[in-house]
This record gives sequence, C-alpha cells and structure tokens, in this order.
Amino acid sequence: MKDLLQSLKVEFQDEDYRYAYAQSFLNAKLASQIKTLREQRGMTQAQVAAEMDIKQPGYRRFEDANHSVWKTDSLWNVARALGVRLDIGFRTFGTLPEEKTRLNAESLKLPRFEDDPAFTENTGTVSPRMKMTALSGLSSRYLSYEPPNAIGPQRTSLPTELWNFTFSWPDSEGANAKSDPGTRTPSINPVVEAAQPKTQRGIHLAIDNRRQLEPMNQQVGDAA
Amino acid sequence: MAKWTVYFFLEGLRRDNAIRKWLGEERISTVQIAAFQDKIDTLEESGPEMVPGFISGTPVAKDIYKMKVKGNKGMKQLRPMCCRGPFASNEYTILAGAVEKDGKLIPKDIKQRAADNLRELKADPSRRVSERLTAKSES
Repeated sequence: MKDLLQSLKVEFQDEDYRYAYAQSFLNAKLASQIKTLREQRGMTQAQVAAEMDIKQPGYRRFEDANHSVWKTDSLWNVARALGVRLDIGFRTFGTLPEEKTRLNAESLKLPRFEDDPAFTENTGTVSPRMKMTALSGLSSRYLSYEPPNAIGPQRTSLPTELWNFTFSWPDSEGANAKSDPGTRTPSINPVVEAAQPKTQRGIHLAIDNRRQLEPMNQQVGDAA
Repeated sequence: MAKWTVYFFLEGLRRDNAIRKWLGEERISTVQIAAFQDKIDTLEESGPEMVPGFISGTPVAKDIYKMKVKGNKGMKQLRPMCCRGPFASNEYTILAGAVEKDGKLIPKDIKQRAADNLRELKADPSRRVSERLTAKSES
C-alpha cells in the first residue's frame, strides 16, 4: 500500500485525475459487491433481474466495473433483491488507498435481513468470524454448531458457503464423520441440534432461500 | 505487497512502454488515464474479480484478451489488448493499445499486433515493465 500511496500522492495533485480515479474505483467496488452478493446467495443474474422486475441484460450492467451512471432508485431495487440496504456517504481521498488494498470478495459479503445477526436469535455469543460466514446463508432448516471461542452450541442457519467448507460432527457411533467438499477450509464443527437425530442422514441443507432443499446425504455419504 | 502484477510491453529498439506511447499518440485525457490506472491498481491489489468487466471473459484471439475502459460521451473507448501471464498465473501483460468505434477495433490489425508482441515477449522476457501510466519517461 505504501507504494500505491506514494504514487497517488503525486497523481492526486491533479483534481481531474483524483476525481476520475475515485469515481472509477467506486464504480468497480459497487459492481464487485453486487456480483459478490448475488454469487453469495447462489442466484443467477436472471434471478436477481426477475426480483427487480427487469430483464437480465438490463441487470448485467450493474455488475460491470465500467458502468458509471448509477441511480439511487435502481440501487435500492438491487439492494431489495439482495436483501440488504443501500448506504451512500462521502469520504476523504486519504482513505482510498487503504480501502483499495482491503477490497476482496470476503469483505464485500453481507447476510440478508433474514440472516442478519442483529435480528436473529443467539447473536450475542456468535463470534465475529461466524457472523461473516455462517450467518450469511439462506437456510430454512437449522443446524447448531459450535463456533470457535464460543460457549456452547449455537443455533443458526447453515449458509450455502458451507458446501465449500470442511466440517465434521459426531455420527451415530460417536465417531467423527467428515466432509471435504471443497478447497476453502475454515474448519467448523457443526453439532446437530437435539431435535435432529445425530446421524448424517438427519441433516438437510437448504440453499437459495428456500427455493431448493438439497439433501446433504450424498455429500456426507461420499465423504464418510 | 500486491498479489497481482500488471506489465506493459516494451516496443521497438528504444523499448518504449507501448501503452504509454499509445496513450500519448491518441491524446487520451487525464480523466481516462486515471480510470485506466485505477482499474490496473485494483486488479493488482485485489485481482480481476474485483474489476468485473474490465477484462473480457473470452479471448479476442488466441491468448489475447480485450480490456475495457469506458469513456463518457465524446471520449474514446479504450480497448487495450492483454494476455494472462505469460510467465506467471498472477500477472497480466498489456501488449498493445486500441480503441473501439462503432463496434470495431482500431487499428484494424490490433489482434495481430498483440499476438506478435506476445510472441516477442515470450522470446525475450525483458521486453516488459511494471510502472505507472503517469511515470516520467527516462528518454
């Protein structure tokens, strides 16, 4: 970041340059976040467009870093389709380099309202890391899990992202069944809540906001 | 430290930065250079996923991709040609400059030029540089 800051210190002396640079960054950041949130929700462009009551080609521009004419009404429609709110504010130029270096898909992800920790139960004991990931999903069933550094099992929704995580839980024989469906491996240890049988066959994962109910049996069975 | 690096092809005996030279020849405005530099910086800091639409998803020729820097009304539509690598997976090399007018790339032979530059670069890896678009020329 030091190199970037040094370069921008010189380049930003030109007013036209710094405004064009900042505007380009805002466009790219907005487009990236819209794309990231859509993918986080497992939705296609056509699905988000349908939620907004527009055609897919009309929606596609919102995911283009070169799109430069943003209307707040349209952004509110995108926000509603993705279950988040819109926030617009002013910043100093000095914060731009750091903001740029911190930009990544994880930093742009957000839970829908339905999974927002502020409005779901047991929010007080879920670790910040879990808020970022495990609460961001779209589930109609619940698993309880034990986040690192938390006291006792937590009941919350199991996000789509967990398809890519490594996780394990006690099976009916008390041994650990382990799934390894993907390459991202922040390991968490879900424990099936008391109401569910403590077998892998009792677990179902809902994805895509109740549109689909995908049984995890196959994934689990394959891994076990 | 940046995770990605963007390089510019060095052309001719003088080894001029082909893209900076092209920006000068085309009299590209400060505003568009700033937008171009921003996209390069974001790509270097955060990877291509954080600048969706900047680099075409499909190649325009073998291993050649089109970059897109949109200009406002009355401005040129910049379409520099680049390749992934070619020496490492976390780098891009911008090979030649082009603009798009009425859906057509100018100059017409830009794909061939970019392919020729890529071939030259592969034969001589020193024919590229990573620097700012606004860097002062040494000559």
